[in-house]
Amino acid sequence: MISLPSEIEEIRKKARKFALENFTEDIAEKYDREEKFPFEIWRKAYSEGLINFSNPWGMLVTLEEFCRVDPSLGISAFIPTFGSEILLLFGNDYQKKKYLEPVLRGEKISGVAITEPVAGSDVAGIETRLEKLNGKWILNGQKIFISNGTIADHLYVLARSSTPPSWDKRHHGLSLVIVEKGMKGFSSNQLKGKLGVRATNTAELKFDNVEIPEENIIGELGKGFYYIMTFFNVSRVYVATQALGVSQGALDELLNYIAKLKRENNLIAEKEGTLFILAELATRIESARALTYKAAELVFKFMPDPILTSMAKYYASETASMVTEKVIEFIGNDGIISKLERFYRDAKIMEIWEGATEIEKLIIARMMMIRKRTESNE
Amino acid sequence: MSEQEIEIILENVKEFIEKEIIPYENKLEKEGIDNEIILKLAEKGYLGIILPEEKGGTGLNEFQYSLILREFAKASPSVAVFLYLQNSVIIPLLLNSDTELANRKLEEILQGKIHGSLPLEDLTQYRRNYLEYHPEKRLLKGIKEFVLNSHANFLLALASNGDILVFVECDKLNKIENRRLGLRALHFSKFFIDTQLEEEQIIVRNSAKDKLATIYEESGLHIASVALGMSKETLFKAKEYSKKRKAFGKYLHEFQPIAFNISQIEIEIEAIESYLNQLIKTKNKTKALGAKLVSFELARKVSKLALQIHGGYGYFEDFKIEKFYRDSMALTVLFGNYLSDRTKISKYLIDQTSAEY
Repeated sequence: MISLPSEIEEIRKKARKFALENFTEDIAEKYDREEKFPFEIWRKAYSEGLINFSNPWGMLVTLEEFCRVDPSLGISAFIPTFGSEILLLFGNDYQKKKYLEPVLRGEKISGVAITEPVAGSDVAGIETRLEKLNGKWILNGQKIFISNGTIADHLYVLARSSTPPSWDKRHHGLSLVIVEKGMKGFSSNQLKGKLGVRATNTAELKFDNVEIPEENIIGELGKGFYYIMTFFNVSRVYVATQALGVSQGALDELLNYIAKLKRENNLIAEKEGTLFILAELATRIESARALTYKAAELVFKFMPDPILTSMAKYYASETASMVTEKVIEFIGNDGIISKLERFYRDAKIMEIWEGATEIEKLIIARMMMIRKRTESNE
Repeated sequence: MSEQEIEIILENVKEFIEKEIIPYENKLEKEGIDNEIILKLAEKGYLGIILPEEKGGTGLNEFQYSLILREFAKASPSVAVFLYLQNSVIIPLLLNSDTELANRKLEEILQGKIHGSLPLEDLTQYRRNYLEYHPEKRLLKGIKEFVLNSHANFLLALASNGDILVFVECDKLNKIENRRLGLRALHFSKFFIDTQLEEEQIIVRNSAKDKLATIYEESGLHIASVALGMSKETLFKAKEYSKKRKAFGKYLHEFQPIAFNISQIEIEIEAIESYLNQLIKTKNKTKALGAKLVSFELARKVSKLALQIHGGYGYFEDFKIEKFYRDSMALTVLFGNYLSDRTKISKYLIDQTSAEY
């Protein structure tokens, strides 16, 4: 397995220990059943210094190890910081102090609201409007499938602030604003009945003439699409990391199972049908890891490569679905009544959220063509 | 039977499903299949579908039975599997017995008064884990880990190294519920058995394991029919949604990858449907196992595509897409045995010495 500098590997060990101690099957099952957000796990992960934005590699391996033990709880420990990179990169000092810092200290919860009933993958197709009426910014619209929707103290909301010049330039005229919980006209409702990652909070949001203070507009007006795409370059690396964790966790179960068969002198442990599955899945996971770490390295050096990020997200998330499926199918009944059934359900979202696989493929191909054009012109 | 007669059967099934299954689907998934539904299934003749009329059954043929299972699977894979379990496994097992008890129980099943359960480790030979029967004390002991439809009135299980098949009333047994990835309207439990048996409760006295294996093999095309119904429904939903949902100003089906995937799967479904129909009509049961595995794989593949096309909406239970994603995987595991099934197929298609290593 690819190894990172020893201090990062130490963090990995610590993260794994934390996850094994805190994400017990009883707890994981309870939150999955009740669809409740595990506030105490988030707080505890913070209190032990495991969520530390000043050490991105540490964050990455911690997320991987957390998801390896339980994807839903693992993501829940991190997700309260969701969207922080937006303020880190584009927020002003006031916004960083008021909104970002308490989140990074683990005191408050943030979120990002982009998807709407009419537009998911098509970010520029959103209809939520930010308009200036009588000298005040007013937000109207609706969002759906928003992580942390009912538990966030504030959310970074994408809205249309001006009509785009043409259909091709729909990504112009979108802006990001900070909406605080309790603002008049803002309401949220938890959506239940998810296939997986059921410990995470998902909601629909409504903005009914919500007045947005001028100081809550992030960066420049009309640049929201660009900010979100830049944010995705970071967040998609984390989704790829979640997927690595899920895949590795499922592979751990397969290895344990084969080892148990071997101890019982069961000949199945020796058959090539068994060994090849193990070899194929392990190889696939390691390739996904190499790709993800390479994309992460560039992000952490402030040189994100959208092609690599999208490749990592697409490949790792597909790997997670594939590995959980193959492992359950191979293990059979023993697998379906184990934690693997949760892993199988948890894995699928990674191919959907933060840009569906189809979008990642478009980005990869289009960016490659752009690069090709640029190279030809040079 | 003419096309017209088949149409009539299908219309009846669809009407029943529309009225009795679809409105209660969420309730079924959360609380399980209840006695009321079972009584209604019996009234319509869906218990004992292929049992000859002179034996109290409905007397339909295998093809008609397969069509019925497909229709139920579209609305509720759980109910379809319940019907499969009773019609294709429990009833044939009782017919293998010449005891008075088995006859009585068969009659009650056909009336919808009772229904049976079975350990999957016995059915699919997932694990050699037979109950122990001590004749001198008439004591039956052991653990059955994967009992499907475990809220049934009775359990049929292999004992004494698979030589005998016993009948046990479920209310006398301790059980704990297993997790359920899918087919959630069917209870799935681990049974702890330690009970006295009356002589008549041994309903098959020799080679019970082989008899069950034959019944299971012969039912391969039935369970494949359930998978086929699921595939057809999920494809239908994906196709419809791709015509309604827009992204980037275009309907989803206007994008090549989505259109190509849907078309590819539609062709695969039609190919498997024709293959299944042909195997059923020619009574070719030796190829049933292969047809079953391919049908299961297809059901999973379609459900994955449908979920991806539905995006966030598909991830929530309201759209009834995620259910097929779970159910198709559950079906694969509960009625499959990864290495053993593939080994059997290889031996059949290539040579008896194939797939040993």
